Amino acid sequence: MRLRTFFGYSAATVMLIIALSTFLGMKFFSHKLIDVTGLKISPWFTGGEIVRTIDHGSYQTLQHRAVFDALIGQRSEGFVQLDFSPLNSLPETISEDIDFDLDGNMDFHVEYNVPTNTAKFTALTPRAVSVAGCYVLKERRAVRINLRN
Amino acid sequence: MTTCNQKIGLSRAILIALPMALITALFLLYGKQLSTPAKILPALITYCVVNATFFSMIYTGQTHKYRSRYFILVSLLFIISFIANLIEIRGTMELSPANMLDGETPLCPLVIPMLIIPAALTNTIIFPGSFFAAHAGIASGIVLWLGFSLAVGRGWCSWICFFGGMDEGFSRLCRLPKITVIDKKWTYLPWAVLLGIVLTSAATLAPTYCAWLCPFKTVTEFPAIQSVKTALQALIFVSLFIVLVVTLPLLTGRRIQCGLFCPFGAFQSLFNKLNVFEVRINRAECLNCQLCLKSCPTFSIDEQSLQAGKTSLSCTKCGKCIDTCPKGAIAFHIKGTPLNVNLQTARILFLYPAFTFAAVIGGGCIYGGLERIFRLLFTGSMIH
Repeated sequence: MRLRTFFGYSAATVMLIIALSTFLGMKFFSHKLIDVTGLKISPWFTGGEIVRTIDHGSYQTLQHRAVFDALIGQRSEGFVQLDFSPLNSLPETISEDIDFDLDGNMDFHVEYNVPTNTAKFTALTPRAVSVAGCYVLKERRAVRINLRN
Repeated sequence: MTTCNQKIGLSRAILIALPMALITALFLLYGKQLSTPAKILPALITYCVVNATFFSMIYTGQTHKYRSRYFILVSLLFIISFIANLIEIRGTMELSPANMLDGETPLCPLVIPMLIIPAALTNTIIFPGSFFAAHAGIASGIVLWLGFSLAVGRGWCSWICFFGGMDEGFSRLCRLPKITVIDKKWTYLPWAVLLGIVLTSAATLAPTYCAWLCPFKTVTEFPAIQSVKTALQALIFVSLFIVLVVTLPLLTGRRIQCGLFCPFGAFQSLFNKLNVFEVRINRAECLNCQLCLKSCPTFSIDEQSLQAGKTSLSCTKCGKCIDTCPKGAIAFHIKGTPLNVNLQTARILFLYPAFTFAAVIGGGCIYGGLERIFRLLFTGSMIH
């Protein structure tokens, strides 16, 4: 009984130490948490890793990997994201032929209009479906194209 | 008999509250750039409010009375500061798809239960925020939640949840409840909602509660209304807010959203099992007047738990039953220690970690809100 009481009060005191260290060590614990677990933001939000950079001199087109990620395995529908940057060097119209699965064959053609933030899309293979959305981001523009797996 | 809610001597109360004054000075004042009156005044007021609240709790022995006022104030000022921040950064309360791609969504703790399965199976966080954002980054949010859950368990819902303060505020406006009998079955609803959102979020890899069911989107940020789907989402958010956070608390005097709907609250209940602090009822002293049962804001005391001499798993450790009991038969208790012994010590050992979180998180919200109000007074605008 005495031992249980001792552990009880000790645990209660530890709770205050936890409270204080949560704030004092916030920066350290936050970075450690991400380092140790290797967690990433879902590609459904970030667009996934960049797999190809197309250099146009004054600006670049960054092609992300195709995202079909599911909880287990892959989904039948997904998207590929293209980023255009830097913002202040973008031309009025950007035309790209994209090979999203990197098999050597172009899958779709996209023509992005910078001032109107709209895109025209032509499918070159049945796996490329339509424009999912055009986005005005902080330091870039982006287009997402719906895909079939 | 010594009870845990007895008034104590002034000098003893000052001594007990002094460490908190130092802790809050460290976290609320130290290192802050207080260069203008519009920053100095809110900081000083925040510091005084925080410490006056803690001192009052210690001196009077009343927990709920002062916690509740503080909790509601935090909630009100959180809304002011959060909305002003959004307008300053985005120009609107709307959350556009572009904001999500930019990772500009501040982490809301309510999303945490939905993150666990996808994080375990895909190693990704299904939330459109940033890990290390200056304001409510995902990593710091998870660390804060972990620290609090270990230290105080479901106390989250009554000590630092800035949403809970809205529910509590409306429930306190109810003088005479119009609805007094609520079927116990409803207390299972938060668990059903929790199960539903955890499974659907895992299946869709998107936080479904945030997208469809969160009443607090009404007063924070909501998806930009650009389609029938987003219009329907907005309609659901507003309807749930009006029904669960405003109307039902006004009619029942209870925290309906927190006690009968919130899936995060249900999830936090699990941490009450791990946590060392609990609320116990001394059966020998109990008059069986059932005032505690009638007053519990989150339906955590029923006849069964009363007989067992403890609150149920969903207890938020708000202290209302302790303040209400006419015999002082209810008290904070440390698991493993003898019952009905050293009640004041157990209470103070609970209040310190619980109020440290409440002071730092709540103090941040109070400062943020006051700073906006003072900026409005000094410059004519809440935003830059």
